[in-house]
Amino acid sequence: MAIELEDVEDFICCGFPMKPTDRRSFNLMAAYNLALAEEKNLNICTLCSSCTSALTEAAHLISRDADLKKQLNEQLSKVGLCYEGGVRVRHFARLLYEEIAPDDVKTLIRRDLGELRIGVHYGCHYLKPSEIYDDFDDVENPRSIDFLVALTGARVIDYPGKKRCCGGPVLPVDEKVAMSVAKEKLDELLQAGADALCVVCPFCSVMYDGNQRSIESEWGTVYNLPVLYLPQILGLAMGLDENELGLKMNVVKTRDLLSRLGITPK
Amino acid sequence: MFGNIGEKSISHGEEPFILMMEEQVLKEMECTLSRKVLVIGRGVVAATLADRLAGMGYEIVLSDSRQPGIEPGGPHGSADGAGVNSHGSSASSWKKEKVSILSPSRIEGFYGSPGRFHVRFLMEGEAAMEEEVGAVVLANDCVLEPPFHPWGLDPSERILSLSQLEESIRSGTGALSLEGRPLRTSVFVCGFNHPSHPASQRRTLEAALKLAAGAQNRVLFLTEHLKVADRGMERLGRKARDSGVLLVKLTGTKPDICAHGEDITVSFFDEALGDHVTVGADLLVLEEKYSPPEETSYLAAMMGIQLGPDGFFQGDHVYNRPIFTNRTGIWVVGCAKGPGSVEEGVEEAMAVSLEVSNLLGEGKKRVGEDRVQLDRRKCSLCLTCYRLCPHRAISYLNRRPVFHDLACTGCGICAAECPMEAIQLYHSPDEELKWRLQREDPAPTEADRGRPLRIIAFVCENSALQSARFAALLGLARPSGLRIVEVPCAGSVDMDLLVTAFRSGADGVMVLACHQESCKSVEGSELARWRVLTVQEKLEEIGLEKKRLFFGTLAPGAPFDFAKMVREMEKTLGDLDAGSEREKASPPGHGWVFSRG
Amino acid sequence: MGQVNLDQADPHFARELAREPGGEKIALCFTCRTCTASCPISRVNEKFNPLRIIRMALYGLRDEVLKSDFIWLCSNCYACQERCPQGVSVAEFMNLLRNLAVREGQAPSGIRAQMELIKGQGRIYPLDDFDNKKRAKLDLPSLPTSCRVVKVLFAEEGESQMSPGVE
Repeated sequence: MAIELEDVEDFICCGFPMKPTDRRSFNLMAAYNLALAEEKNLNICTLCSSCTSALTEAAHLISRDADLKKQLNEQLSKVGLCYEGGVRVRHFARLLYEEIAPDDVKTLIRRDLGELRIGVHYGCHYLKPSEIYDDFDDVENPRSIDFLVALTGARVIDYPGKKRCCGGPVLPVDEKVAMSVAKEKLDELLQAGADALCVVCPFCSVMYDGNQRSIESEWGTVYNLPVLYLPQILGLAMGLDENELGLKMNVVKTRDLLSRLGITPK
Repeated sequence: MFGNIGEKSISHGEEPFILMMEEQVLKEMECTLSRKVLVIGRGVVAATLADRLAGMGYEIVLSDSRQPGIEPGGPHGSADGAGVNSHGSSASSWKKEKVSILSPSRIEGFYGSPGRFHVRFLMEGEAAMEEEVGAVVLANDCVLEPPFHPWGLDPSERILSLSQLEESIRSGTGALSLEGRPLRTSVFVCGFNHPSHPASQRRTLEAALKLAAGAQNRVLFLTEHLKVADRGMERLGRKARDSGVLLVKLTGTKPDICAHGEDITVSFFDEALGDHVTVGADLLVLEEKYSPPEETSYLAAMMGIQLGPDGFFQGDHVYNRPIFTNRTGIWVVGCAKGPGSVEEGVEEAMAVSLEVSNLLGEGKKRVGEDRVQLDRRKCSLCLTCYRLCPHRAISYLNRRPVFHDLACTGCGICAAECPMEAIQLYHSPDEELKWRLQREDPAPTEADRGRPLRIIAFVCENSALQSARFAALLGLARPSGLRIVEVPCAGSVDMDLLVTAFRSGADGVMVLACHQESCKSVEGSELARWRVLTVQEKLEEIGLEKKRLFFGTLAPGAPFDFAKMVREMEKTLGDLDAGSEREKASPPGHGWVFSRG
Repeated sequence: MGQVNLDQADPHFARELAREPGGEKIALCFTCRTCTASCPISRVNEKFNPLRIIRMALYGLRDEVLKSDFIWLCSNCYACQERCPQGVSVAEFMNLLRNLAVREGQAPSGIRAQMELIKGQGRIYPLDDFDNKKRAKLDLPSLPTSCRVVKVLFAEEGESQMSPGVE
């Protein structure tokens, strides 16, 4: 069973950062992306949790509020688009979980990651607000990503703040507060003995990967915790090489991790 | 091993665990009961009850210390006009069913028994009237105490009690018009100086809702807790808050209220906000405390009704169900027993009417004639029984005590206390008990050496007996020499019986009663304890160890407590015997101690 | 704050909020503090306390709320909203307050910068040729470095934008 992913070049920002500041603009940007997909008769697979929530929520709202739909379509007409409804939005991890795993994933596994202890960061918008996500996973006790990571043979560890926010949206407002939030989780992961952190959202990656060194220097802690996207973990298990996986672009170096798996980095 | 637990008869051929009296049938007689009911009160609840009972065919006497009827609205009235007066004048059926209204009147005398209470009324300017009634229902309305003084405030146009506001809302005048100054901010205060009650919080929320309806108004509701444990209160709370009533919950602090001239300032510490808040109020409404009706202690003393800790009718007893008092034939409904709403009071009135009809029926009832038997030759007219009966089932007629079967519960306290032993309980007369004790546990002989310790336990059927049965059901270990004697109340075990138990060869005797606060006969457990203490002293005097006689209390569902008590008793007795001359000498309780034989 | 005087507060603020999306049920709050207990920001910073903010709004402390810096600390994680036993949309409420603040010209500089980026470039992280060079090295197709669409979509800015239902 295969799912084909088509790249839509004209996608713009999903609008998520606009929600707190300008709700109408938020709705408009999300609707634009939805309309683009609808034009091509496609459902949307999102690569970011926040985008997932923005697009899903907008689709949800539009399907329930005829006035809002009319309003938005009037604006979309300026760029020659119209959104009727019916585009389904799903996060890529959810897609994997619901449509592809476990069998189709298992057949592709070439390397066992049993050496590694991996903590999963669910974050906020992958699961919440729950009413728009069809209960595909449990908000208070989520399992879907754990399940996917476990398919590689890696040991998925539990830790207290698994569901907690990364603090990302606060970064432009108060850097210190945002980093304190992320720091708490890094501390917990350290204590739980994690070898790597699994994320499914670039926002979260910015906090844990991009800002890890800053957090370390601000508070004098040391983590050296590689932050991997879920596809990178699955890819490692499937035998893809580090260039294909873009591991060089991870801020926290993954060299040690790779050598533990017996992979000599190029 | 112990036979059928439910069996009352004593089985032969195996050692009986529980000694119970065989069920025998009481002789019955028919007695006549009055079909008149005395209802004390004047509000909606009393009126509803009178109405209902009259409809069932009873005659009603309505009495209250004040004029009949009360103002509609307010806590005791209904919206459409309230009270006995308004009701009575409109319901002609009352005249047909003979509802007589004796208000205002005062009850000067009260005696008698269920089915035949004698009441003497005094009405101003008239001679005393006597009535015989079969039942009494206390349905008087409680008093609402003015709330101003505890807050250090004086009532004014802007500082009202809740009842005053309700009146104002109903009549459309007074506080709400407030000429010259718009009603911008209203503050309602419930509790703090007394525990607030859902019934008055309901009234407060309903009034606050009406004020919040005007879009210009800010309405604050200050209380310690929003008490939603009452019908519809959760919904009402939400509705009020949805309509703009701001709930301020203050646990641990009190609001500070100052009134200077026209200005009222309310300040408090909002815990959720973490700050002190001050607001100027255009209207301040204070909740009143519900207090017992004025004549409560007077009536209680006269009728022998127990009062609760807050002074309302109905004692603080675990077996007192909502509308019952400690006396058969006397009930209490509505605010007479505590703060409550009119709706609840009316429901209770309906329930009570059923109870009344259960008691009085058509006016004739078959009652037991010989539940309590009096030996007139022995009775010395000391009136101990009359004074002691916790159920007021004994009265005094023609120079001898009369036992009223409708009120008697067969607790046996009178039989135990009678100094002349003139009273016997039909179901467990002393002689019978003694005979059985001796028969089952004959005085031990030399051959009994080495036998298991014999323990006789008198267990109250309301608690210890249930626990003993439960323990047997659970298979809990017990001393093999344990024998249980069931009694209707621990208070029916007199000292003579305890001594007899020893004489019949018991190594130890136990009296197991209900907890003192749970005794269905109020004082039975305490009386038993006192008797045990007395006998223990006597035992010591004659050289027997005090520990051979044990008093304990437990609950009905306490098998483990029971098992523990009896096992510990066995151990205590074993320790007492160890090292004594028991093995060689004759066992205690025989011969040389009680040689009367 | 120390001492709050309600006579200077706006008694209509709560009702105004109740009419907008996100404010519907705030009056139902019964101060259980579940929201604050679940909040990741509250854990590390005392200034941000969702319950306190709701309370301030209910009391009508309009300026204190809308001009504050602490309402911007919300990370929109929705934990409060998921757990509120009264069904208050706490997270949406925070968004509502912030929307109002922006309408009145109050927003921290970082947020304003972010808004400008999105409305001007259609992205929160704008791309330039340098990024496309890096992509080329990884055999990834290049992406547009400017966005015409947003400029058209947001062309009629400057009018009062935020009352829902009004174009």
